[in-house]
Amino acid sequence: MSLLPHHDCVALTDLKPGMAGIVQRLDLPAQVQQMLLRFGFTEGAEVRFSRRAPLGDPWLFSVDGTDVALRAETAQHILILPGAELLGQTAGPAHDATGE
Amino acid sequence: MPTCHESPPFAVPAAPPVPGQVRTVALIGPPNSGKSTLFNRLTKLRQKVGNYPGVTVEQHTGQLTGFDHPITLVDLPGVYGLEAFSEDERVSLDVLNGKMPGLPRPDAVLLVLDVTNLSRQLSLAASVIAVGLPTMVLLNMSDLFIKRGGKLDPLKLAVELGAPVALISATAGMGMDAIDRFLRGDANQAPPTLRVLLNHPPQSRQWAAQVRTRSAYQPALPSVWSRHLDDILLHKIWGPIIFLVVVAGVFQTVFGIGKPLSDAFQNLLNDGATWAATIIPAGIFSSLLIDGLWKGLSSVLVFLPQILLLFLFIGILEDSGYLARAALISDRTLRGVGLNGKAFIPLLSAYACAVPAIMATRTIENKRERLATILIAPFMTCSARLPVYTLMIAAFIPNVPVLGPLLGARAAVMLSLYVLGFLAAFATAKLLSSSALKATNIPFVLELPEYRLPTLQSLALRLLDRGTVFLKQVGTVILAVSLVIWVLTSLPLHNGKTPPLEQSIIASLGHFIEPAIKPLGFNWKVGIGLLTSVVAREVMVGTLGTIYGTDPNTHSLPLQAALRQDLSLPGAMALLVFFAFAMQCTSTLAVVRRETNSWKWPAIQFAYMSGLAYVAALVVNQVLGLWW
Repeated sequence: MSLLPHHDCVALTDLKPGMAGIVQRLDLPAQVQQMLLRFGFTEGAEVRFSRRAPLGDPWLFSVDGTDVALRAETAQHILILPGAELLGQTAGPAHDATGE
Repeated sequence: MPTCHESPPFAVPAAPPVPGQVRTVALIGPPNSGKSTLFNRLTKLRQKVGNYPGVTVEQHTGQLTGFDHPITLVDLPGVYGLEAFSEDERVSLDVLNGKMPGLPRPDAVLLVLDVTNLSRQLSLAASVIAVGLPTMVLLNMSDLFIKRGGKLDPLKLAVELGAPVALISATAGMGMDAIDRFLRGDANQAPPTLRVLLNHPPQSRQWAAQVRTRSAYQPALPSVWSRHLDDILLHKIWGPIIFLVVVAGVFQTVFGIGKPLSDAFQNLLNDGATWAATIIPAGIFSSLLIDGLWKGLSSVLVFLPQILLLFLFIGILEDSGYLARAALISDRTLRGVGLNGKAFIPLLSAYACAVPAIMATRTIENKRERLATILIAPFMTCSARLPVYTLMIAAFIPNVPVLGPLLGARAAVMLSLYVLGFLAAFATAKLLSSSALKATNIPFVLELPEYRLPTLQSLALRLLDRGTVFLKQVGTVILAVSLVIWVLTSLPLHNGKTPPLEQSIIASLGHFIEPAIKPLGFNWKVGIGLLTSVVAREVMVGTLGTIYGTDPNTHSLPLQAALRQDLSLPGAMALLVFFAFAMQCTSTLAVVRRETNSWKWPAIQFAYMSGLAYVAALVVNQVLGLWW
């Protein structure tokens, strides 16, 4: 997979609910990266922003079919390449297909 | 329907199996993979709960029957990996490598994965298989996975992993025969080796992607049901409201339903004592049995219904998946005092008992926030304080309305004591966050499991577990303390008879410490209670029951009436405040010692809480004394 120049990337916290993207880079210490890897946050992973907690923070992301909560202070250091087509692939039809 | 009922495939058939070599089997898997459900199903009720030596990680072992020889199944803590980040992971790795004292190296491993989240669990699978023990990979929740359109070829996955794979469902009991066959056959073979570059995210990810492709993995669609529930339970406005209603509802039920249950239980226990008094001839023996032991034990036993009820609610909230949402909602608030949302679960459990609460802090990866949570947890009003609170409130607070029919005076005092403990906890957390503890950079990461219906079996096992711990405490510590107190109240003998209470050994001991506690409004009997309750708070009630029970002046009175005669109202209020703050629980101190691995923190905690309790009780007694 080719990683695009970083100026095309946005932080996870720049997404609108329902939007998804591919993780490009984690600007976090190695130990934190290792920990986030276990929850699926790693380069190349597809992450979708589902919603914010009722009091505004933490943020909920859907990775690998599971909802994982991160505080904005962590999520803002995870850079992704947002993809409109991903929205269609992961969020839209998935919901429609299982909604009935 | 995939091949869950066929014999599991094997990657590399080695020498023919030699049955009968498998004696110890380890069960491992990530949190929320349904591992405990599987453990309960495989072992039924033949299980033991203990601790691994030197750490507080609980060790669950159980027996598998139906084999030629007994097989011990060891349930390892839920882990996401084996890199030894947390104590849980270190323990798991040590057990698998045969380095855990008192436990033989497992002969085989059952690895449970939630097949609906397979992708990121593959790295755990790689770590576990790389340990080199015969391993079977159990893909749990496969019924849900298939229903939601997930696809996977278990034979191909087995080839990729080099280990047999079976699709199972622990809740439905599907695929259990495959486990049976594995343990009889291939668990006895030398396992094939798997080499994956761990600790190297890109390669690890590439390998996982390759495994997914080659085993024709197609993820299941996410649970729509969970998402819709989250739309409500995590709603901007409804979310916090439901959160508060749930917390209030738990307390209302525990005290609303729990109180009459406890009262009924108390009547039953009293009837037992009355009946025993009619068949045991009067004398020293009957005095020991009824006044000494029975009064001591039953005054504590009556709290069993309320404690079980509280643990039942915590069990329902946790098993249903709501507790994780509650942690998410409370993160913003807890952050203000230097904690995180994961502290919500231990702090809620601390309302039942600080010991499991402090153990539950292991899920907090951030060391500083974990230590702060450990240090403040004993301030939460645990169920051991309830016997003391209920007794003193019933004795001293009249049953009159305060806020119309909604809130009575007794409920108001009880509520204030809960608030007092809560405020002390938060003030202490704030103090700790601004000074004593250094910050670390481990972030808050919380996985939200899908909502599930709690199973009766899992709830029943929890209650059995907690009930046993409580009864063990009553049967050992409180029994021993009641016995000692009775002996001390009955010596020295006067002409072969027990002395008047004022001339007993315990009275001299009590009078010796009385000057220190007199300013708090306590008499020497309460002083003895305070001494014995250093062991555990509820011992206080048992001790008072025994002392007043053997005192001829108050022998025939219920304990409440006896206390009313003997203590002032300011003294009684001071005693309540003392109990709200003081650290009277050796089990908690022992757990803090083990969890922090030093005597420093339990010592600081004990000194801080006891000092605070003494000063607060002194102020309450002196200030209230101005009016009464």
